Amino acid sequence: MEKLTEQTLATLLAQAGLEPKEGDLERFGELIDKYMAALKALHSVDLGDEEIAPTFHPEWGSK
Amino acid sequence: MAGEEKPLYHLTVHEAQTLIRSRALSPVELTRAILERIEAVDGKLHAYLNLMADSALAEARVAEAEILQGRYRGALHGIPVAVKDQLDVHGAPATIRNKDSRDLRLSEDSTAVHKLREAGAVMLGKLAMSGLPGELPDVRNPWNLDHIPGGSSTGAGAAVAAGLCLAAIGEDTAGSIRNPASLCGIVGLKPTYGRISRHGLAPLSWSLDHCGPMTRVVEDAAHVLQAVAGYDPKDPTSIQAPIPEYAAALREDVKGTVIGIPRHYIEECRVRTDPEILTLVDQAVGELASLGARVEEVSLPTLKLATIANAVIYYNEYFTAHRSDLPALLKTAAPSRRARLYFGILTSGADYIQAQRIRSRVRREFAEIFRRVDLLALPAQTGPAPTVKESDPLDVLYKHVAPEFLAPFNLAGLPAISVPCGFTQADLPVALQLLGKPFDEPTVLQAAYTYQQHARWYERRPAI
Repeated sequence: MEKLTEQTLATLLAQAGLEPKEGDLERFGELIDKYMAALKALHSVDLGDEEIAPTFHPEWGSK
Repeated sequence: MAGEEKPLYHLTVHEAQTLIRSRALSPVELTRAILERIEAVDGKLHAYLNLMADSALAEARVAEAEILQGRYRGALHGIPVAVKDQLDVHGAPATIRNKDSRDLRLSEDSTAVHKLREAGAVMLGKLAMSGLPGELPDVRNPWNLDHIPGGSSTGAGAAVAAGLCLAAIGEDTAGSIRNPASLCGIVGLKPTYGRISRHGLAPLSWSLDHCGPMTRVVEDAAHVLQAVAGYDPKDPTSIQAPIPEYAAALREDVKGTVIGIPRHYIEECRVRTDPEILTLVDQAVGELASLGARVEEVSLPTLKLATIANAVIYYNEYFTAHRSDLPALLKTAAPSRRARLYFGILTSGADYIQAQRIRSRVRREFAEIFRRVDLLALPAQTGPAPTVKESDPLDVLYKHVAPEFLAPFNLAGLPAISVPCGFTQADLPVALQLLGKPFDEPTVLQAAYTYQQHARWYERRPAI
């Protein structure tokens, strides 16, 4: 795993009072690096004024 | 005399309901045949987590009595079915929800299960799925026991293909109905988001989880969808859209149906896709064209980000849904579940919002395309079922971080069906995926049914 990602993950887990299972950071390192790279790609696209679409239906409970 | 030449466990729902309604087949006889089948082969497949044989036979006797009294409920009356462990079933443990003990018995059926019971179906039990805690045997693919059935509705794929139930309900967050359906040579339908209630479904991701039927043939998926579709006040995301007559309206006709192919996107995925898959899917689309469909190329520029956007939303919602259980889960959950939790904690609010913005953009692009086409066609898999030996629990997560064929349609909530379209040289199933407009399951089902009746891949059964 990239050093910065490993440090970030360790910090976030510690802040949340959590401990990774022994061996997980090594086992999942390559996968986590791919995920982080994909997150960067997510932000690489110019969405202009695209707004977040509603993710709920306002008619909850009204029918 | 009940049944035809083939064993009762290989009847489709459609065939069985004809026999049951005419009283040529007893639900008790059918259920016993399925239970015997389970006893004979599930030791090799490991499809069932919890078999409810006694209650199933009791339900079959009730169904038989009702039918003999003239109180026939419909196509699922007396039909033995099973559900993925993710759906709650009264009286059965929910292993996916397990914190400390697999003996936790839940008291209420999920809405989908409740509706199956209302339709008179016989509940055989709960089926295995990927990512469960503890040491469980690998579910095997009935077409070749050395291979996996796909996931995460692993048990449902194997059970339906092998005749261990006549239909199953699976769940799909990033392909988990369509993947095992395609690898097991059966039909898997992920309906429109909100078409089937998620009440009583252990959540992976609230805005991406879809329940749906997994069956031997398309008409069976239509029968099951008919029974379980509909608004549920217990699930605020379920939709009050009219429920068409899915099965009754099925006919063989694609004349004038316009099928869009996002070739640019298939090219994007080509490096990760087995050439045999692409060849067989191309052939299937060609067959639909020969039957009267019009095929045209379409462009969806943002589709290449849809898989990772789906993953970001999935992992964040999963993390949040299980936030209170994290200390225990990080110790006991399966590796693929633990990995999702690490992804969730690494993903920022800004990442989640960006994923939702991409979701908006992808939805708009689909809406634009569906002004010109009735359906989209794509592969349902990137390769045939891998062997158990070459599989790793994390494989699916590697798929989630690169463009692929399944997750984008969870992101957009569109109806998507996987229908068998052939076999590889190694005799492993391959499927065609058809996608439609929101709540246009009738068009999706009809095209899949037309192809199925023409190609007749359902006539092949695993030798197990």
